[in-house]
Amino acid sequence: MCGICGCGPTHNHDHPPPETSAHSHLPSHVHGIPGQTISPPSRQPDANPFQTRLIRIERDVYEANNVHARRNRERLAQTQTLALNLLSSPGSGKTTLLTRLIERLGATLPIVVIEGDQQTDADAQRIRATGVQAIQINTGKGCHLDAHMVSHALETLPVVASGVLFIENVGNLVCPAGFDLGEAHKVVVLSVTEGEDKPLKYPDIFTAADLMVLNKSDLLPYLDFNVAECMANALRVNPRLQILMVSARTGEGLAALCAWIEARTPHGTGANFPAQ
Amino acid sequence: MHELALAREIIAIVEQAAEGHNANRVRVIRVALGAFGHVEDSSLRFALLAAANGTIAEGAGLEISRTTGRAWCQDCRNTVILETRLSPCPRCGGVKLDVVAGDELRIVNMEIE
Repeated sequence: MCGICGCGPTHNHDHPPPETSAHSHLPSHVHGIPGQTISPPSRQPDANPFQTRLIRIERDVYEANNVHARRNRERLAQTQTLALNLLSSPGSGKTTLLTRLIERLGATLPIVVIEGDQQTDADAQRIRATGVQAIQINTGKGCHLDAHMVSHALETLPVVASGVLFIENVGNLVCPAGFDLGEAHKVVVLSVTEGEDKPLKYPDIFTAADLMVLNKSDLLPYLDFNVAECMANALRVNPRLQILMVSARTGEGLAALCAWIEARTPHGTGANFPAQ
Repeated sequence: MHELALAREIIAIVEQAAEGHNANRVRVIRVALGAFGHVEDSSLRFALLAAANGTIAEGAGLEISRTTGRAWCQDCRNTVILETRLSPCPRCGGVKLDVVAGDELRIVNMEIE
């Protein structure tokens, strides 16, 4: 690194001697050009004992994940399996909501579940208790599921042709947003106990989602939660977001949510299937 | 802390790109990060330190350049440049904006020696 201006090591330039006041970047101050290997211009032998070369890369850091996501999506499309990626903070009621959905949809739709958590297989056990097959992915210190993990889970799970794959992501309102798993839709679950400002505070996940499920509506009488403001905040972040209010506990709104899901399977209109 | 996963991916790409160039080490990695990218600069720098440990990129500098975020305004029907994801449309003040660019995280180039 240049000790005078602090610029990076490709800034190959000669500095004027210390006695001159100007620190000018001379014409030889060349920034690297992508795709070319650049040798430093002539310089004092001891100025840089190493030859610095610039290597063009131009690659998306999410590329490896996206390759797996595309494969997952193709695989799911072949069996017309609707994959929904459920995102939320911990404690929003995703697993309870899933068990209620399975109770209602399980009679007519084949369902499998991928559960993502840092530790324990407690959630997968809760799902299995409903009679549906579930696989638990423990991410250890990882804060999100990625498409590679999901591809391995798909190898283990039975194929649910014309059915639904629910992927319950790690409880985290930040990290899972950028990782495509190959799902048809991301569904964000927000519970009314979390506050109406969450879409503004954590916009990435609400932008990535197609549907927001506002859960725990049965608690509204005990809270100051402003439903209209929450919806306005969510729509400000993502004007195309669909919103459904439910209570997994009382069953309020679950019929509408089931209808939303069924409409996206081959049993429904299938209009949006397979969503890309 | 998904930046650690991204940092590991950056190192994997850098190692792959360095193959065949007879590199002793990577001095600088340059990435372009979208204005709305799901990445915190300081977290990525910290994670990269850990991910680079013991690799050809150990000790490499990370230079992050920001790329513009763009959105389609449903009100004035223009593609506009946004400073933040929550900025209103700079042309009409509308807030019904569909983000079309600004989520990227791309490795542009690197310097090796």
